[in-house]
Amino acid sequence: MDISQFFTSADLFGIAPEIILTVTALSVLTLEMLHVSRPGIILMVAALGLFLAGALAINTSGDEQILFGGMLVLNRFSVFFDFLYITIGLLTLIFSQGYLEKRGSASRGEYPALILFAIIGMMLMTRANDLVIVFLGLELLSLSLYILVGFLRHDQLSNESGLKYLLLGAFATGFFLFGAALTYGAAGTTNYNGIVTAITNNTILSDTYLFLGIGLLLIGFAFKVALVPFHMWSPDVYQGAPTTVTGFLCTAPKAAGFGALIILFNRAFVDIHYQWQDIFWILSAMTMTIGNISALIQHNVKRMLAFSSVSHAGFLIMGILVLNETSISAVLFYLVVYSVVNLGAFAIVSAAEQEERGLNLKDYRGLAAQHPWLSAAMTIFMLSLAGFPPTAGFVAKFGLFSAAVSQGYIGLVIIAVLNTLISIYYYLRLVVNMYMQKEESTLILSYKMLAIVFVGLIAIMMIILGITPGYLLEIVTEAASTVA
Amino acid sequence: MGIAFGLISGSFPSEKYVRNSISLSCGNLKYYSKFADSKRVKKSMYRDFGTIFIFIFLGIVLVYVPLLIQKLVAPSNPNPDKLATYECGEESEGSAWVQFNIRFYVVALIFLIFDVEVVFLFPWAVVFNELGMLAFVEMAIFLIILLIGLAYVWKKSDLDWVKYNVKYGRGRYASLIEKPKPVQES
Repeated sequence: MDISQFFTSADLFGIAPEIILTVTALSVLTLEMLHVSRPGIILMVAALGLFLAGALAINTSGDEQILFGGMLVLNRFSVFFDFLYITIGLLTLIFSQGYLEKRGSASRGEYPALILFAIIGMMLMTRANDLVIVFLGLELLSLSLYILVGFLRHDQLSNESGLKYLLLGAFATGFFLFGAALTYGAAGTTNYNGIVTAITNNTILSDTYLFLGIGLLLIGFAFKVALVPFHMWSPDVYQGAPTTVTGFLCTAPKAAGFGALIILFNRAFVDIHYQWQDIFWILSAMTMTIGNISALIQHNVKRMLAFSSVSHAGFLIMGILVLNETSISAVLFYLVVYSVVNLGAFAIVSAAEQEERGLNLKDYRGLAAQHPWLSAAMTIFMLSLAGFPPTAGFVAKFGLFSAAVSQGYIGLVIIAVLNTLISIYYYLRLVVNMYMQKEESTLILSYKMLAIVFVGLIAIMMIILGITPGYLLEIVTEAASTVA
Repeated sequence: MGIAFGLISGSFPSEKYVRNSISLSCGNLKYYSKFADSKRVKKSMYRDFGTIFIFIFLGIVLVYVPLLIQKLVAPSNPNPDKLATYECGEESEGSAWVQFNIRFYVVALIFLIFDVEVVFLFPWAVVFNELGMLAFVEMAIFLIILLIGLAYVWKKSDLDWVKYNVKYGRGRYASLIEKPKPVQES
């Protein structure tokens, strides 16, 4: 028996980005061990690894490749997500420069290493063509995030949120695993193609088990992407986590969760879509409404953004419900805009955050007089999240809603539009606090030049994308065409 | 239940029992007709489940019947000395619910990782000759990654049991903090 019959060099080349990222993470840890204390060097190494992984991911994009005997599938969709994760990881690393020191923790090499490991997990999730691999990626992602959330060891809020996330996350993982087991019991395989074959050939052992399995899998995912009623962890965890980690937490894992959800439901369970679409309808309506209404009464910026991200998950789930190529490309567009904007917003929040204050909406009063450019950037981010026309957020929402309307989900779109109107209140409240209060701002913003440059770039990009979204639209349409 | 009953009362489930049990468990005619399509697979699978049911049933019986007999037959007159945790005379102090030093968890985690490593190493070593060079390289990569982990733990002085300084600490550990700086409660 030769082990090389189980995989070929093409398989290894396919997972080259993951291998590069693993090597990078390990070298970052080694550097940390060797007491290379300058955070710049560690950041450079991590960034180099991310660039290399990105370049390799581009290289492998082409026709659809099936790796490891159908365990992984490489196509434009997965490459798109690889890119999204790498971008988010890079931006997070840039924005976290100096943040941990500010919060009284030593600069540690584990931080970039854990982010790299999380990215590997997410890459596996969207490349997966098998429930087992999704589970593997989900675990790698979650374990890294549990540590990242509780990274400030001396901070009680951070500890609390880390423990809370660990306990609830482990519980949700149990649901996911049960769902995978029941799906396996019903279909006789965990492979997506196998599940599709089993459903079309009507060799499903028991419909009850299959539906139970789908439901439990959905619960597992709903927890990870914080859909109502599985969102209860998100405000507490987002508030307690170090702010830069919160930025990472509410963008990349959410994108990964939605990516895996799209592949799972639009590939494996697409033939029985009439069975699960109603659940998605209810989840979407509930998530949007409850997320938005809860965000209305928040005074803490991080909690407000947490609830806003819950409501955005509600909009996104609408795209999966609609189930055609347009809607999926709209979801991808939305994910890009949402992720980048949130990262920018959290970067500004982390710059404004101080020992005891800087997190309440009141603290932002009169900020525009002192920091006009940062306030302008924050305003663009808020407008983009709310979906105002000149920004990319409008194009994203418009694409999603029009895809839903074209498939006849008028009721849901009405709920979504009403929710968008509600959300304008709390997004603009921050802007009003910054611009229209006469008080003198006492916030002292601390930031690195590089981070500010990138915040500015994101803000400009959001405007440009809002006016000429064609380039990104082309990419997302191409990516979506490989799934739908 | 239908299957278990069928298996225990008769020797083997006849097709009738299998069908009955399926229609019972689903309670829906639609499922019944669907199952009839690929009867063979289902029958063998449900038979396997029957074996499991017997196993569970016997497990419960073998545990609880002796306990029940013991309860009925044995005389019972408890006293405080008899009910003590250590009947040999050692007096127990306090409760078992005390806070353990966090270092036990670190050691347990490190142990667990290398324990699992051995689980992977053992089957590989058994068929080493047949697997050849590629498997050796793979295992070497696996071990290198673990060794980096071990070196990391070592370097971070998590293997030292007696610590002369710590990064964060409260209470009796507060005096071990490297730079004397008051830890703020948030």
